[in-house]
Amino acid sequence: MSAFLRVENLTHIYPGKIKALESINLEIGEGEVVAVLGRNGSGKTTLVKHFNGLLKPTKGNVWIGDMNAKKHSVAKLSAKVGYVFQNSNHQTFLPSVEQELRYGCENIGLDEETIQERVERVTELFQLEDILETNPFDLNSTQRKEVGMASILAIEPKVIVLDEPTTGQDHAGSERIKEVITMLKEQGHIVILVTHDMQLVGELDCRVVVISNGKKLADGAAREVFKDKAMLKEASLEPPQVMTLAEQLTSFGVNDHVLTVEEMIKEYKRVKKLDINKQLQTS
Amino acid sequence: MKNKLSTLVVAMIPAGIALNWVANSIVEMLKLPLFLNNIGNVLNAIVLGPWWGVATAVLTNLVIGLTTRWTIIPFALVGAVVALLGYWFFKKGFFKSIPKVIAAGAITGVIASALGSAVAVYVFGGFAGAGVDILTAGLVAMGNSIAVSNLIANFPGTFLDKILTFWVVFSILRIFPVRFLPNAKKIQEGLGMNKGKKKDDKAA
Amino acid sequence: MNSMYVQGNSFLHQLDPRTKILFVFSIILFVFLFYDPMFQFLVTVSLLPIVFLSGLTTPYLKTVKFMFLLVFLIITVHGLYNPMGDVTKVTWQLTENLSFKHDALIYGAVMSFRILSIGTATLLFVMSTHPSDLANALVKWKVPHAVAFMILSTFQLIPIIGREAKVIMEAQQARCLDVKANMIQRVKHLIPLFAPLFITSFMRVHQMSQVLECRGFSSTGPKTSLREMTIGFRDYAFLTAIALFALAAITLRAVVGGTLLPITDFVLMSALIGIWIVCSIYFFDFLWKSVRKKVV
Repeated sequence: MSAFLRVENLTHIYPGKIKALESINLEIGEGEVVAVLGRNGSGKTTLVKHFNGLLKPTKGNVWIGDMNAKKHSVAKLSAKVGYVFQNSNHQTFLPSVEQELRYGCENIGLDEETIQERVERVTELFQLEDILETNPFDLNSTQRKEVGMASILAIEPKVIVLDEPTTGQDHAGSERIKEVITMLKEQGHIVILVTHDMQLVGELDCRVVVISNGKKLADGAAREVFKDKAMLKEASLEPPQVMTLAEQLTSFGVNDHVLTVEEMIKEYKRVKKLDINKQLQTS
Repeated sequence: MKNKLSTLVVAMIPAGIALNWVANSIVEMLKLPLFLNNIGNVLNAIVLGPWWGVATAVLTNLVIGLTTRWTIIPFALVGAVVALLGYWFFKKGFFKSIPKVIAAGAITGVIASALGSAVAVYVFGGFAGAGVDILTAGLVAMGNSIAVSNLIANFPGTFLDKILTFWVVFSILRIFPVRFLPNAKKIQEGLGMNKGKKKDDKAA
Repeated sequence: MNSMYVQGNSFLHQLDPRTKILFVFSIILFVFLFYDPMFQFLVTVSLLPIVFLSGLTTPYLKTVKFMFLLVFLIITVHGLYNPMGDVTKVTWQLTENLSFKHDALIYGAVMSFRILSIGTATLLFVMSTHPSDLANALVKWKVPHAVAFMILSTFQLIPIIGREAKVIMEAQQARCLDVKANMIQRVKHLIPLFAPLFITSFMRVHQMSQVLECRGFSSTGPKTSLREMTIGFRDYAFLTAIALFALAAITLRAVVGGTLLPITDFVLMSALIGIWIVCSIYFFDFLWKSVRKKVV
């Protein structure tokens, strides 16, 4: 069985002959979390905008299940591929959070019962119970972003694209987004992140696709990809700080296979114990 | 605010002009036969005051005139009148329900249409430098006078356009986050929203 | 935004914006002084060398297109159907009941060349004047600084709000808003598209007004400008030339009247056919380009 989301030889040329993407191939299966990394202007947003048809390929194909993204409207594809925009102000227009959550479901013509069920589910997920009647613009930016994300999740798309989900979020907001991503993964959704937040990528311990100048430079587990220093330099990326720290400490016996803070703590404790044992032995 | 322009006005008028301008691309994407290029005028007239609405109208046509087609400049008169009418209807309580808003838009549409034709006839001999001119020419060829042809050709578009302009401004003001409006109370009164809230409270 | 300003270093570019504004006004004055197609035509033609010398030929030809549609309709439709003046004086009998009338053609030709000459003068002004300089010129003319600022910031705001509108359209389509739904649905879609645009613009306006306060925008006293302009010898020479022309034109008008030479059928026919030819050139150019686009 082939993967749910398939990108075949995708090339995109913007008007004015600006080549934004060149021969990209990519397969993403159910339950995968993929972080698309690259500097601003590398083509990562151009790539993910093909998934829900906001952009159409100049050459090549994008398949969402058995739908060719070239041949369907954004509205239709969006039922399969949810795209959460960076700034939720761009989609907020209804006077209450509840109506915002319902809007997408109403657009795809669900019946009242299903809509209510779905709204309840996302409300619980983001703990929005107390603010359902509030005007979204009276919320703080963390909450507003969560409402934006919840309103897309209510459509229950198979694929969810998150554009810079943690930018401008406070700590609690980032943590919640991480939890939601993990939960979506467990439910078999595909989550695609476009982000500069390396710590988030490290903590999620997910697959990473690196784009630079419209070309795919790397594709693999974060742990492996972040070790290729030459490639990272070419793409102007920095691995998560803990990883750099671990690498700097290898002479002290720290294993450089560390990706998250938690792992680093474990590693530190292990090395410390070894050290103490060594000291005990010598004395 | 009387002697000196407040910075809010100084910032709001360019935004109104930009909205007038950008309206075109939204209408184009939805493939609707409208312009909605008075939307910023009406909004500013209601939010800032009638004369700021007029200022928005005049500057809009000046800016578009200076950048794309100068033939639009004389039609600033129409935009200004639409702004004034928008304010007047708002003041008279026409922005309290959809039927009233549509009625206000319809009256404005008739006036704007007549005024637009008058400008076109006096300044450009009955044309306006737009696609609809071809229809005007066709109507003249069928034996109508130039003024009547221009009016017939432009009326349906203008009429519908003003109704929807009013409706969009009305709908948006109703959901506008209160804290962004400088004179929120007055505007909510004009929209008949305080009453609505009280009813909701009772129901709850 | 794409204001039509074309960078350059020509004589026209170096003139003070105020000089150029006076120039546009004097052209408007000229063409309204007389009711004579020959005169209007000469004014239009005499502007063309300035277009050429300022290096604006290509952008000018591109933008003048839409004026020709207007002019084409005016001269043709008025010539055929306008019942003004002496209807029996026919210039060109097409069919039994279709003919170009002499008096109506005069009206059409005068209107046409008026529009072309004012249009050309305005384009010359816009294409050779940087928006910032325009704002400064207005300030020099004692237009309140705030008004000049509004015009200037509009030029900056339009592309920003335009980009915002594009993002909003994408964001709502991502919530399954169907741009190809039926007409009534699409009218309803106006709200989800306009509302976020209004609200985000408002938020921007609030920020902007605070920024303005922080930078002392409402402080009283004279304001200075980064781009300084001075009226130099060039401007005085140009203004003198305009003044002389204006004087001559006004004298002529007073002595001879609105019509300079008797208007012959030949003049009118040349105007009509001339406009038709230019229009058809544009039309075939347009046709050729769209065909080529389809093929490529």
